[in-house]
Amino acid sequence: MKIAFFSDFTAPPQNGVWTSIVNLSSTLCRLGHEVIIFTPNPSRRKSIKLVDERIVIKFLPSVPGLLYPDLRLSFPVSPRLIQKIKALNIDIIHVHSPLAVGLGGIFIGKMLKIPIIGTQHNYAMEEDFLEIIDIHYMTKQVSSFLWKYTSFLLNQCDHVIAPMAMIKKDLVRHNIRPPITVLPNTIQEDAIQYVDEQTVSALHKRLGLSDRVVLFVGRLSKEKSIDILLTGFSHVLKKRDDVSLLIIGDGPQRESHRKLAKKLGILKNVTFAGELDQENLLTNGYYQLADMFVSASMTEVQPVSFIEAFFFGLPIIGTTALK
Amino acid sequence: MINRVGLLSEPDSPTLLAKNILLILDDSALKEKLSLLSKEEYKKRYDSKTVAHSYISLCHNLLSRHSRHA
Repeated sequence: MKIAFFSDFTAPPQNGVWTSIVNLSSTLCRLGHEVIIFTPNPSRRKSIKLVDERIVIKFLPSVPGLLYPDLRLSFPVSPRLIQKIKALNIDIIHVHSPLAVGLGGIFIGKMLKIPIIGTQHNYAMEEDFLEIIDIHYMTKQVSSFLWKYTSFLLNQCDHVIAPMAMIKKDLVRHNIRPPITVLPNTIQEDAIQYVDEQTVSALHKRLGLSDRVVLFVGRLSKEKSIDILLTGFSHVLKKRDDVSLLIIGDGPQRESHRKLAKKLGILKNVTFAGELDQENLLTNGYYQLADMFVSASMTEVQPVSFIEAFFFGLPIIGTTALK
Repeated sequence: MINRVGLLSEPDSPTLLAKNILLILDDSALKEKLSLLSKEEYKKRYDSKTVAHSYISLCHNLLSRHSRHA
């Protein structure tokens, strides 16, 4: 089978939607299928590193997004793109996002009569999410508009995928008519390597960590509520000082988080390791050195980093989600 | 998802978050129990091949439905 994925989310910087797309693509390729990902040309294209080189990526011309840093915008559709899809003889179009690229995927699918699958990856249309990302004006109306837009797009698909049952329930509540299947995100198990204790301890030392390690992996952006994590961690340090918080990821809030850690007087116990590509993250012992995985984010659907933490057998502390 | 396998923290509660972190740090038996629950959760829900096979079967159904209607 030949499947074309359409995603407005691309990497770098690393993000959950992109990682989940690459992970599913990799398993499908391993099972003998072909996956071609259409995505905006990222700003730092040279640093893209995929664990699986069988995945084909077609970059679309893009410009920087205005509202959200790092989100690139492409033109929804072009005669050249339509010709390309036609020539590729695609069996299924799978749309992973509701912006220009996703819209283009739906348009091309309809035009060429190719079955379309749509996945709802997040809750960006919820009022609580809008508040978290600092949209405080007319949030109710904005949320209602975003839900209507999402419903319109998903109703153009032949089948919808929800990563969790909770999303399926909400999609049904918002009158999504195509059949909805709950299908979780996955990770690339074959890419994971356990390393020996000596390697873990060398990494531990190199990162300058204390004996015990609390790990967070994710984008350093507002919706991840890392300020709450840092504040909570400052309370931990009042009780015991043999703990480090290891934060892996990058994003627009990097500097403000560093400043907050400094203000709280905990910078010595917080390590910002920066963004790591999936291969580095999964093969060099980062999850193995942690005692637990913690996230204070209130906007998650089904983060890939949580699934990776499950795989490595880490206890997980999370928050109740939006609802 | 989280309350089935880990400890639940209320949103906006750094104090509760800290309490839960300390609980795991201070209690190795609890840490071990939660670790096993994480591994079980993974096997039960997230095996990549199982998920991919469900996806492929969904695609096949969609293709046959689509060709019937074409």
